[in-house]
Amino acid sequence: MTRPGPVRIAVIVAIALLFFLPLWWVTISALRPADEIFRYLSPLSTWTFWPRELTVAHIAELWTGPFRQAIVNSVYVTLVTVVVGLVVCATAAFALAVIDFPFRNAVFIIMVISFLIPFDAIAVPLFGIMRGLGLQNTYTGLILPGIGNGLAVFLLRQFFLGIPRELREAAFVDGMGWFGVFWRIYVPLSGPAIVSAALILFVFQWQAYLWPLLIAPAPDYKVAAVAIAQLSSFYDQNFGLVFAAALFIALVPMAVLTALQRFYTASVASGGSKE
Amino acid sequence: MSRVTLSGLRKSYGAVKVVHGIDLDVAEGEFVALVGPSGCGKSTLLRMIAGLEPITAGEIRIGDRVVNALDPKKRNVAMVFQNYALYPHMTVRQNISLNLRISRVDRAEIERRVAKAARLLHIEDYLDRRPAQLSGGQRQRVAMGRAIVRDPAVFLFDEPLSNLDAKLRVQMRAEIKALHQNVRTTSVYVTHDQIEAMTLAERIVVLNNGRVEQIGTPVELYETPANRFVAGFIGSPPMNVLPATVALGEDGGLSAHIADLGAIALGKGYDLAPGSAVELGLRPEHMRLTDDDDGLALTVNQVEPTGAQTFVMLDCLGREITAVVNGMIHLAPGARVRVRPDEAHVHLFAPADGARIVNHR
Ligand SMILES: Nc1ncnc2c1ncn2[C@@H]1O[C@H](COP(=O)(O)OP(=O)(O)O)[C@@H](O)[C@H]1O
Ligand SMILES: [Mg+2]
Repeated sequence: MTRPGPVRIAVIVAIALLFFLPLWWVTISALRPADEIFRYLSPLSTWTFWPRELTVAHIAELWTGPFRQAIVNSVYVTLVTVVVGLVVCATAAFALAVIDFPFRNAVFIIMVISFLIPFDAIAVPLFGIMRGLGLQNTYTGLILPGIGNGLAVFLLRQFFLGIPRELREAAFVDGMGWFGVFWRIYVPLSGPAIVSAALILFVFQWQAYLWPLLIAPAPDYKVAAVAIAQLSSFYDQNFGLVFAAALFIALVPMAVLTALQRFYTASVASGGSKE
Repeated sequence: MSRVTLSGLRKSYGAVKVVHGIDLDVAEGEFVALVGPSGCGKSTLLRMIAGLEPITAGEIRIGDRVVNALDPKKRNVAMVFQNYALYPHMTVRQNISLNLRISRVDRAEIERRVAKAARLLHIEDYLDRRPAQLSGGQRQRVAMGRAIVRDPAVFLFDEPLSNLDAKLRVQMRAEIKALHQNVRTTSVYVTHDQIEAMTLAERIVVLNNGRVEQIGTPVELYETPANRFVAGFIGSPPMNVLPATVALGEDGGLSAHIADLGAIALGKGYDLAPGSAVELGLRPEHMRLTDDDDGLALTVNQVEPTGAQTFVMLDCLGREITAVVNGMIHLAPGARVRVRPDEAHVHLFAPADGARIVNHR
């Protein structure tokens, strides 16, 4: 490998900084006293990007202040979505990949089309249905639309199709039924696909804004994405808390992705699923 | 251990008929081979017995139960697949013991049975490895282990040796035979390799295009093939088949004339009218090279020494036929030789349908 020249290094560093700076600014804004947040914006100075004083007060306030319930709600709703969603999507994908039933392809096509429709387009009619079911301001209402994810089903189905048919036939002969084949053969062999599906479900629910805003506006059920939008107006312009909350919302998916990416690449690299 | 009975068994995929009504009775403890060319429906038949493929018509019994509608797990059969189909995420031990664990056999018993199977198959040293860490031959043994550990009613084998190299195949063939003599579980063994069928099976079912051509012991198939297909399929090199015309000899017996090359005495056992056409079947080892003048005069095309025997390929009326000679023989392509067929081992087939013409003697 040849080393890049000084010009290329400069360009690379500039681009990296461009992406890094906003995050950095959010981070230090969350960590500096409230009266310093906007103080050095104009004119720009070293102090714009380097805190003179550090405080963890805003970070602590995430948990001690009004944002706490939103964090709890977001974490709970997302966790349940991922767990229940994996069960729903994986079993659906298994049926679509492996079990021969009437109109299987039609069902699959409908499912694929459903994930091509932007969620925002169906949010309002869906809200009408959910309200009719009395699911306004409930966890169920928040979670339900997130668990059947067409993209996750598609991804899992494609992966399941690649598992040789003899394996499930051997399993049948070995005394398993459909559930045994799913649980003991397909799931253990599908680590990478299941991690990807989990990430899809996770990201979809964690960054959801429009739906939670519609279905669960009550303070007890407000999720982080909704709460942050309302923080500044409700609580006398506490920008320190806003930045701390923004940082938290951004860091959680980053941490999850980083942690799972390691596992994901490892399972792809070992490639041991097929002989 | 159970007997297996197939009656009127049929299979169609949509409009395509793959198996056309098969009747077969496999006795308790018997080893039966299904042999036939690729695509003739062997695997389909085996998979119907296992319950992996729905039956279009007919009946399958295992023991005295009709199993037509039963799931594979209720049939108590064990199957060895062509590509082994070992569970890649499980160790050898887990692969072998899975059925027992599902059946909730108690742990001590599982351990005992796995150890016994491992000893029988010489895989004790790999029990904690994954399939990916094993050679082809070792995987094959594990696949066998998964079958024998269960003590099933029937073993089903679908070309289990076809992915192994020639030497290992011969070795595993002997081991499968020894294993069967040891455990005597009813076995149905699918192969396209007639030598495998001949060496392993007590009885062979020859299939062609989804139909049974003949069922019999290896010796029966070899000595009295029911038709030209079986004659050509069983035996290596295959039987030579030549067109001939029947004539009445001076002694009142019939003889078969191979164009103007010569004649072979047929004796008095055949119901054949003089002048009728027949197909004359002669095994390569029943063709003797001779110095006499009355043999068939033929030209050598090719000579293949195999060591113990030499295959001599000869041109006969534009067809290539083979003579097998014991030991080494020194002949060059193009040489003229005389060949005398062994009259006691002549097979006759009807030209129209290839059916064997019976000798009533
Ligand atoms: N799922 C299927 N759909 C349609 N035809 C099939 C299917 N499976 C097998 N066949 C056909 O059935 C015939 C017998 O197949 P198979 O039993 O696998 O043959 P063998 O094992 O003797 O080589 C073949 O002609 C094959 O093309
Ligand atoms: Mg086959």
